Amino acid sequence: MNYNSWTFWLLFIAVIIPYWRLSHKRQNHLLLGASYLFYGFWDYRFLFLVLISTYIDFIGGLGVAGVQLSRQRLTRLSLFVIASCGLLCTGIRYPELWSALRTSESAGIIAALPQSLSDYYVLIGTAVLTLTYQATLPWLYSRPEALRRKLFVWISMVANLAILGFFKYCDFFIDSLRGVLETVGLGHWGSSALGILLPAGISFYTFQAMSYTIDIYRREAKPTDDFCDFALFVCFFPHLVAGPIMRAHTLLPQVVEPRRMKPSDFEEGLYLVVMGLVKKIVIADNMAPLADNVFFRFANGTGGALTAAEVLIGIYAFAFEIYGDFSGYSSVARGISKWLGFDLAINFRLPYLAVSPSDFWKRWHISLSSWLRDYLYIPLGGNKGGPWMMYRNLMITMLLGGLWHGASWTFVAWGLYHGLILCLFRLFNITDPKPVGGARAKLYWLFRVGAMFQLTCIGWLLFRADSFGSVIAIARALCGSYQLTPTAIASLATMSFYCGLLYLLEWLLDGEQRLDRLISASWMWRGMTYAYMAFMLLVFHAATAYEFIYFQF
Amino acid sequence: MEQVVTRRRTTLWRVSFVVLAFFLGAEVLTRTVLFRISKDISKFQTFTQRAEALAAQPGTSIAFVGNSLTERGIDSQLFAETLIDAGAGPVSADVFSADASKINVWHYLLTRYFWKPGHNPDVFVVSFYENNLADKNPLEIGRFAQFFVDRDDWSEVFKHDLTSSSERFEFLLSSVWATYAARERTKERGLSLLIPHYQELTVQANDVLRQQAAKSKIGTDKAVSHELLKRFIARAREHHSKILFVAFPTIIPERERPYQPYELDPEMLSVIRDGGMEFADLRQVPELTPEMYADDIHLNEKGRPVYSRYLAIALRSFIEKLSIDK
Repeated sequence: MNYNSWTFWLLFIAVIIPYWRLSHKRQNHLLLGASYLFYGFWDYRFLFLVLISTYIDFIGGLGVAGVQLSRQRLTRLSLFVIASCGLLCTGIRYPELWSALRTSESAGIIAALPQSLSDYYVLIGTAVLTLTYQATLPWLYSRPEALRRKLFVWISMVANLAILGFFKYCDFFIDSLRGVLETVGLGHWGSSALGILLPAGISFYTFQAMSYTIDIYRREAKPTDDFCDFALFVCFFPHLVAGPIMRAHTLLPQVVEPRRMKPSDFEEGLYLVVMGLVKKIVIADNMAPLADNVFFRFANGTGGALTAAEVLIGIYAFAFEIYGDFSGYSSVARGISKWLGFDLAINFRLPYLAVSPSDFWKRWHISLSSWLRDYLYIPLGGNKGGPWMMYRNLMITMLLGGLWHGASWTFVAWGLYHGLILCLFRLFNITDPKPVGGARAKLYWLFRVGAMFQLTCIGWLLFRADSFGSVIAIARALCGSYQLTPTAIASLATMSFYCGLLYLLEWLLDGEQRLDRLISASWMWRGMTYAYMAFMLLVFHAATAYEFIYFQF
Repeated sequence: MEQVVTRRRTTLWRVSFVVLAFFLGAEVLTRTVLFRISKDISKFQTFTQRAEALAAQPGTSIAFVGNSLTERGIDSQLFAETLIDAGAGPVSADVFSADASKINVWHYLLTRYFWKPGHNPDVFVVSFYENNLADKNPLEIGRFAQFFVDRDDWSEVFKHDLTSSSERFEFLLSSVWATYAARERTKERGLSLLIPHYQELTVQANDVLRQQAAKSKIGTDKAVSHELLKRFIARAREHHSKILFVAFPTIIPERERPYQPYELDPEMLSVIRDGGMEFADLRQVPELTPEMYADDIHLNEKGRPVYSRYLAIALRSFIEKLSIDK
């Protein structure tokens, strides 16, 4: 269930109709139910991961702050987690169970239930861990404050990173290890990966849940003792699977405190939703075939027939695809959150107008780059400790940032590449120009924007290519002829048609920062803007609907 | 404060009015201009009249049903003349096709345009290739809702053909909103006008999409079912219609040589046989050479008469038997 499906909008209508008529507590319960339903649509078993992450950080946050729950509440909570595990992770075949229950067929009911002991392994493990954790709590609370705070924050970090590491990186590391062993001649291992499915948006909600405990540890946020409120903080559906990654001190108060809609929220939300859908369905999905035309052919070994101009346009198409895809999701998330009375952080700010790598990261996926800055780069030492320590910290942060995006060496290379250009810009002390002053200054600013866009696209080449072999082949192809073939002309014209006017509109509104300009424009202009966007959405959507790229992160 | 809210509300109404006026204009344009200039759609608007005229013809009446293969590959006049010349008696034929259509469209096409008093010809010749008769073929929902499904068929459509809520919602919108239903055509027409070499780019993009789809299908479940074909045949029997299914000759591109005709699913053949319908395997027509094809599957102006004559001769005994039975 995605923003670009009717099913999602039917769910949203079912939520919004009663939403503003309910009390604050009921609103939260409705949102929590909708969020779990939304996530369960992908694979209901993975709901348990969200739940266990919520449970660990809920207890962890309270533990760090020294707030103790009653034994009765703790037991109820543990039993709830164990029961959820039983329902979600024991392989009960619900469709079969449902039809057997309807026909009261006892053999069918038994057949739909778990059959072997292995079906209960996750349940047994969860029960043991949950009850052990609960039994350990009095001991943890009895430690001196500083130690207790550290212990709870460590438990939360280790548990979250273990879940993320297992589901996202286990196969990658096994495969990499196998590759190394085979390369050095230590036997032939064949395919040894576990074939673990990647739960949608695991990196997003794990990072958000972790930031809660860390923020409480740093005394930047206060914990909540209401499990439902905290669960809603972790899995608030508008941004659950692709961000923006919200901090506890900004989102949690919005969950806990009663909400009200500002007069401008409806129209700002409408603009954000429509623009977000246009970016995804019209821009990103129409750019995808242009990019695939290059990247798929090189992955397939048939890219040699493409000219350098065609390849370059394919890379540019991917740049607009990923921007439209990801910023479109964030925009819709912000828009529907506004309708629900929430204010999510701006995640993109015209990133292709960046003039330097550091400027780019202040404009691209802002919630992740600031997360990495605050929870990784600064704790590593940040700018302190001299230039070499700063370069080291930058490289480590960007490498891990690259790995966060996906379990592949090309993502690691992408992170390292961005680390490297960040370091080079710092090394040569290249300052950021502003588009103000005389014609010469503006021209220089334009040159820097163009140059940074090319540097960003080199990064996208690493990001999108399926292997280093493809990267090299594409780089070689880029050294060929730049003759404008019919395909290149058509691709360029397609790109201008889809991206031109819409990005001009975005530029006029300074991304999503100056929505007031839209609200204060004349009704005729606003009407024509909406009509244009709605028409593009209706008629010029792509023939193939693509999954949001960032769901896999 | 109250004044601000009232002003905001008035502005919102005005904005909504502009959007509404824009879409009303688009709806009028779609119905009056686009539907008229679209070859595919303007054809559908003549189906009822042509079906009635065909059924009223003396002798054996034959309706060719299919997709662009049929449209571009069969000259119904030449086919009828060849049969008459061969002594098959009076024969009339006409082509009723919809681009990129499959069994999921043909079932409703026949229901809407033919299976009513005075519209039913003696025989339907349904040309197909590859998995055109299988279940789960893609469907252009907009065109389907506007031109092939009557309100009486909605329950059947929702029960069997459009099972997800997204598809059903799209279908409902398309059935009342022509701009939405015709959006694929508007897009194609608009982009062809605005973007130079757009068709070449589309062909390349489709080629990549096909290869991606083929790659992602490797190792997945290939189970093919033919429930819709069974329903199609059952309804034809209810209306005492005879259907002859013809496996259409296609040519394989250079990259996929040596030539292997596409496979025919044994289950599909048994469904046709068990349903009491006829089948002709014309996958390989020796007279058709590569220069008679416009692309991998469509015949060109050279191939069309060759195949039409060949088809007439191939179906002669069946048509003769039909006229005797009649």
